[in-house]
Amino acid sequence: MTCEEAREAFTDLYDGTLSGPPLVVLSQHLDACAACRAEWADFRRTMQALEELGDEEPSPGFAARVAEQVEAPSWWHTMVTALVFPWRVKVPIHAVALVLLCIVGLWMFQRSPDVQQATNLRAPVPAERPAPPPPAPFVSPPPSAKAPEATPPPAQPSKTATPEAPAAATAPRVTGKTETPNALREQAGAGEGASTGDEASKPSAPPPGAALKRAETDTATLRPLRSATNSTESRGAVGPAPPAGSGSTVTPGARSPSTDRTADEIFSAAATEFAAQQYETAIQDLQIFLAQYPDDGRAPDARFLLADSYRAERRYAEAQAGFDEFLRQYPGHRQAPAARYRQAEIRLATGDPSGCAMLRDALSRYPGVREAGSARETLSAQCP
Amino acid sequence: MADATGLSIQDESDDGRSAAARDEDRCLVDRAQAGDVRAFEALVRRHERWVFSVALRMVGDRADAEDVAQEVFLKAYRGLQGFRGGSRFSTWLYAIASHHCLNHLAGRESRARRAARIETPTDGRDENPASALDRVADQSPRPDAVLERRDLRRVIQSQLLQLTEEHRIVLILRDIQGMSYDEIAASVGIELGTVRSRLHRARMELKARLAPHLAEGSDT
Repeated sequence: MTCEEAREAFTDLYDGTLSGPPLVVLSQHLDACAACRAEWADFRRTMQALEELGDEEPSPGFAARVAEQVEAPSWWHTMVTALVFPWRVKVPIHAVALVLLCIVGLWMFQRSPDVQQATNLRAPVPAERPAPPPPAPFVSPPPSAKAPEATPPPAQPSKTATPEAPAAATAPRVTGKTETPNALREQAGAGEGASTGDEASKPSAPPPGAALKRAETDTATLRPLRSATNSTESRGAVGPAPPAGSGSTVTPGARSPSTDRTADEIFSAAATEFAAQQYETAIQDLQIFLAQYPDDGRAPDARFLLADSYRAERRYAEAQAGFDEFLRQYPGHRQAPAARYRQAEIRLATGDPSGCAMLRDALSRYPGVREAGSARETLSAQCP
Repeated sequence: MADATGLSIQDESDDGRSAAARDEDRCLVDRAQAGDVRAFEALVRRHERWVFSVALRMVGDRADAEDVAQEVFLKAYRGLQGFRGGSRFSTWLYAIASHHCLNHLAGRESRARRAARIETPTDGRDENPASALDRVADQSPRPDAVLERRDLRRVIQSQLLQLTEEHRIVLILRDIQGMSYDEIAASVGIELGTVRSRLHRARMELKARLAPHLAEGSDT
């Protein structure tokens, strides 16, 4: 090994990467060569001196000064950062903003009665009820019943009030929905030719499965009604103003009178209430509708629905009278079979054995209608 | 004597502490990437000593080195969103520091050359600090005197500045900062063989320059 080769290997020797024969050869050379040994000593001294330098500290507050510089970036850099980075922060912030937006929207909706009213008028039927079948609607009002869109005159309530209750027609309005004046029931009962004060005739408890049957019946009743409502609403038709002295009665104190509601609005409200099993308010709205728009194409539906609401409320006397009147006025109506089944069921519910004969008669005359299935069950259970 | 992979061996022997430091860096980087300036300030505090030391050894002046170190950290902050964690944060930062020091010196040398062509020679009051150190270092040593420790450091620093930037950065990273060949290659962006050859030449040149200043008896 030459001296030049030996000095070329100093770095490897110092870093410890030299091993095996090269290391032995270099060691032998250093042992033999005083000049290279002195060079190696200088090399080591230089390295040790270099290591003496060590680390140096910047002036105090260096990191804080850097942070200050970082916190004052250029406006364009801030904008780009805000628009693009970082997603892990940006996405949660956007999600929170969306939730807040929804909350504010809901809050504004709740504080806007106009919007709420418009939404309620078009509120969908509760989800548990099946959708109406596509076949022909229950009601097909005559073309003459459709009139151009019009709002009833403000003085209409007094005009449509029955002669038997003039004082009630001019009495101050009471808008409480739960308040049902007795006069309303009495007049309704009298109008249908039935006795009133039948609260005692209500059974103390419904038979097993009665609630389920009632719900099914309500749904069946409502299907064609909805069709009628939708078809009428879609045409924007409003029933004509009723002539003075119409047969139906109005009790202005129970529900909001029609001075600010069109026929569509009243009928839609009644249908929605019936669907929601709010029979008391449905009865009031249907009475108002029949009083103000007796010639409306939906009057038969309203009368059937009114009687069915009484039945649902177990006001059987009024229900019986209502179905009697319905069949008397509209014997050929598509709901006439259903009305006959209802009559028989009401008689059975009030303990009248003649209900069995009526039910058999209805089954023989209308075996294919929807009510026939439940009627057969009732017949086998209650009419031995 | 240090091993060729001195830093790696040291890391392995101190693996737990190294892993903890790496995890802490990773956590601070995540927070800084999310916009937490305090987290970035903590990162600066953890690495300021290393960056400043390298900058000082490279440029030879404290104020200048502090400016360079500050620029390094600002550059790192701006590029932080691009750091994906494929390597250690320290490796990534030291690469920025190494390149920035070299670029800074290249720019300063260029400016100095332009100034020299335009200006007349000065009386020495405005001369480059490196030149001043060089002048001190060029003074003939007293043969019978052992340099004080502080003077020795000044001499070493001045002689370091006489090396080329390419040799100097490798020497500083290896023999002062204790980095492994692999880390130096990654930071500077050169091959391992180039690291070894540049390091050897830098050591031999520095040995030759310091030989007159290192007394025989000071060898321990």
